[in-house]
Amino acid sequence: MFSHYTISIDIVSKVYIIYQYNDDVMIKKKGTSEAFKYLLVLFAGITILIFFIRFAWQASGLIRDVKAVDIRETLNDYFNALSSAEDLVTTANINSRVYVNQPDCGKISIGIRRTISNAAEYSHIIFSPAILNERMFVWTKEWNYPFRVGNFFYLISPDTKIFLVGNSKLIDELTGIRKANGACCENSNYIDPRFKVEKKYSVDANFIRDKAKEYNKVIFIFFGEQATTVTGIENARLRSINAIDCEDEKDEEECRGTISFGNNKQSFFAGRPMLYAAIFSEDYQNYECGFGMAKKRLKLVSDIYNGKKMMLERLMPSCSKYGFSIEANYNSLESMYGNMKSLRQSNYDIGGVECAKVF
Amino acid sequence: MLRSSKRGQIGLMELLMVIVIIGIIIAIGIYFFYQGFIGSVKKTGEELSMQEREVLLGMLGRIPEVRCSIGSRDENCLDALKIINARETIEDNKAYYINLLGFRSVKVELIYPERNSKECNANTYPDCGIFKLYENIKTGSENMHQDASILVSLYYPEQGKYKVGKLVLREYK
Repeated sequence: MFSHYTISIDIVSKVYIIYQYNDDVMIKKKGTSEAFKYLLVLFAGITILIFFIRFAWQASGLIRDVKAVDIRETLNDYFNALSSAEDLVTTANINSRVYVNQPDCGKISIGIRRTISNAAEYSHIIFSPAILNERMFVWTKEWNYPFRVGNFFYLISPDTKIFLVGNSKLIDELTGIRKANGACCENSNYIDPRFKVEKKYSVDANFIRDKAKEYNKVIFIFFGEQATTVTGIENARLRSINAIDCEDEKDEEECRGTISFGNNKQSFFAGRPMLYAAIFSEDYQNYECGFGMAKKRLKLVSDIYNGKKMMLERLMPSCSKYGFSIEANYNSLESMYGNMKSLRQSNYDIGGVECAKVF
Repeated sequence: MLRSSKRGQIGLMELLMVIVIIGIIIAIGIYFFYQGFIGSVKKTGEELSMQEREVLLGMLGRIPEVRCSIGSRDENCLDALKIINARETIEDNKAYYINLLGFRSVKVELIYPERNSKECNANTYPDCGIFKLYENIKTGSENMHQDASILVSLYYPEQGKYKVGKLVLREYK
């Protein structure tokens, strides 16, 4: 039938098919060939498909971002609402991952599926693991030094276990050890049982390895002794604390001490709420971040009290007890503690009808 | 040949029309989808905003910057002298407080035993009645705002007296 044929396509997409029948040449010009229609439909189909994929991708990203903002704002409101509580433990269901202090100190990001939302700044003083998933326990406690400075937030995942290693009255009080008569922790500021804090007289490397296998994350706090050296366990955190005057019968402000996070990373704490911070922080960075924010708040509130003191001095000229200065001094544990004690005493000494207390 | 060409052109036109109609249908679909989506985002935003306003209002009366404290024990009132000094501290550390309060303004108005429209500062105190605490007005939104307020007890430490005030939180849209 066909001896041969050729197909030519010109640039305006008109297709001519030239059939050659033996000796007869018949040129059948189809205005728009079937082939062109297929090409056009294919092109349009691919374009529409790409558009839909892109649209779905962008819409999904947008929905994710909105959800992340929703969670972040709700969490922020949650912290704001809790920040006026004196001492409160509660559970928060977040249904996503929360990245605390990521990428920097003072920032929170929300992880939905495999993506992390843009970080938002926060001003709450948080001590927690770097990542919290789905559900967390929240404990808020106010920090007075010597006046009320702000609230600390301790966040922890339900799958974290904490061991307080040593044998002291403080550990008994922190863990709420029951007395022989069955009464629990009378007048004791023990840590809520939801935080899974347990006392151990001593632990060795094998115990640490076993517990690291048993729990998702495990924290060992050695009180008054050097932390055992164990290497190669990713989910175990070891640190040692030297605490002074932290027992229940003492004022919370009196509690102070030093923390060693290992690798020559050391810090200090001032006040019992900061001792809890040392226990619940993920690591040195998290502790230092929270501590830095606490110092910032101490400075702000100190400035306000100093201004108030100066106004009182002017408004009550007959009172001669305002000769002290209120300044935040937190360069070392000694200066911070000494400053707090002297302020507390100066304020205590203000008395009589011609004077009004500063705090 | 002319007839075939015309038929082809009509076919092409038909195809293009189909594509255009499909395009229009898709565009309408996307428009309604986005309308619905934006509506739901706006609703979520308004709900969050209202929730945040209420939380902030409750919280503001209890922050250490303004709350009364006597011997480390907090009292349920606002300290007039602390508010005056907090204003200055907040102004000096605005970046810190913007995280907490954003585009809002916060003030306390004295309403009982007497009203006074004079703004309070270190020089006008105590003969004044408006204690401004924080102000961050969004440019162009001066008149677009929502207010929320609660009654508070206002303590004048040098007089040892309590007065009644209104804590007003203004949120700019």
